[in-house]
Amino acid sequence: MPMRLRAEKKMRKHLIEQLKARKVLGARIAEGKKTAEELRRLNLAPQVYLFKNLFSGQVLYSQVPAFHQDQIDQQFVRPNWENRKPSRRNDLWRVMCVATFDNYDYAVAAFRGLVQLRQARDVVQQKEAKALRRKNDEGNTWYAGQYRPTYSQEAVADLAHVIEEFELENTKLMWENAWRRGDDKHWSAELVQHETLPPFNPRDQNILLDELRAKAVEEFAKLRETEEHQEEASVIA
Amino acid sequence: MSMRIPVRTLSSCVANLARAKKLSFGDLSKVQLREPIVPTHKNFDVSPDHPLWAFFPEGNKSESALRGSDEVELNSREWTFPELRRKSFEDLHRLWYLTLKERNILAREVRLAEALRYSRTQQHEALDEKLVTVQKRIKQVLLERQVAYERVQTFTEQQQAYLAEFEERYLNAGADEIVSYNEKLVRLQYALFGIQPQLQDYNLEEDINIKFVNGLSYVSNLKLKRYLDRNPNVAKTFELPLNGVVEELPFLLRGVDEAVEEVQALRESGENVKLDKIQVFPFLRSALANAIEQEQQEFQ
Repeated sequence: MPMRLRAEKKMRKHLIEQLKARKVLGARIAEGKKTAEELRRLNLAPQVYLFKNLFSGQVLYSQVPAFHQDQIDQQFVRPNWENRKPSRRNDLWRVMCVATFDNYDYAVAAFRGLVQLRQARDVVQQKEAKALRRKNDEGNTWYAGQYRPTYSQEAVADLAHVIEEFELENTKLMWENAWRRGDDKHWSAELVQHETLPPFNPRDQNILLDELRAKAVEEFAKLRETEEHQEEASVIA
Repeated sequence: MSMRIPVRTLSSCVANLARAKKLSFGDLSKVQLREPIVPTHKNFDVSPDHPLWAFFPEGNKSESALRGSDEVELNSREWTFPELRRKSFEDLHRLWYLTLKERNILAREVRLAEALRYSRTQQHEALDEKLVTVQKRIKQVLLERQVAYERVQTFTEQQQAYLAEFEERYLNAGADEIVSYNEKLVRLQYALFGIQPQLQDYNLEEDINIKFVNGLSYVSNLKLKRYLDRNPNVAKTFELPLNGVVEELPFLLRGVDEAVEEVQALRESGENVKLDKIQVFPFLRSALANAIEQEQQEFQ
């Protein structure tokens, strides 16, 4: 053990603290849950973003066009060999779907509902969820390498479930690939409207998502304005 | 302004009250989980001329991704050497890529069969071996051609002897033979000097080289000699030899009578300049480009 001065030890401790503090854990805007009021204040749209993991097929829900390690910790509780806690590497997460809701309350409720359903699948009703998955010959969830397609399919089913359960009308889903939404019988036509995302270079994913957010905010503001005019008219009348 | 805020909160409260459904799942153990939604290709159309269709034996008409061993063509045979030797370079090139495409189809099918644990792919592999043989033979034929071409380049003495012999025969040819001799000359100038038979076939950058210039002087002098032999009255006034490529080129582009007249006109107007060596290729290129353009205009 070499001799260390007190100042040296102090400096070492300080540096380690600095390194810990500087560690990047994702986009800071994605940190923590957002209430409807916060979403409005941060100029975010009433949207939920679904990111799929290219490596494992898992899906991450986010209220903002970005993600954070906290969200991964919150949404992938109880990992096991089949459902590992995914990495935060931003080259692995690609947007799968952008859900735009009628208002901020709906967006917050949908996000909470999705996280709750994830909780149900991973913790509360683990066996029931496993029974619904496609198995391979050994009785494990079907996989190729580390990829399990069932996770993204479950996320799509949960999205449909939430929209139908809460009756979130005027929902607009923008899919990265139209085939993911599956058969039309899973979706109620009066609540949901499907579209596809414009083709984009994966490198420019953040830019695309930010543009979508700006557009949705603008549309929401317009909608609110017309509503207010109508209300004023009704009050005056 | 002060009016608006209470109105808005009131209306949103009313909207929330009016909702029959709660915006939350209650007890998670009682939620009925849904089955995963499997993606389906029915949500979009695939273009009938999508390039990946080229990996299927019947293109976009294909019904199955994997042919059974009885569906693979078994009565075919490889292209033989004599058949391939008769083909032009363009045909061989096309044949090579058709073979490659077919091999890609087979390779994809074999790979798919591997993934499906379908083991009866011997027929596919047999067919693939035939295609490999065809590819090897195409390469061999092209190699033979290249070797022949390169060997001819080294036969300079023989070439000179042949050219001298041809010159003699050409000058002594009778009126009935001269048509066939002219045709022979066209073939000869193409084979030995790379002078293209058709104007539009010229690649002006590559075809105009020292060989072309030598060939031009051989051909023009040959034609002129025969003409002067047959027309002694012109021979009295015509000064020999021809003065460089400016005077030789007309013999390549036009008939001999016209060429002689043109050369005489050039000499009278004093335009029959003897070009420096460095000017020869640019002159030939621009003159041939003009000729090609004129020909195209006449054709239209």
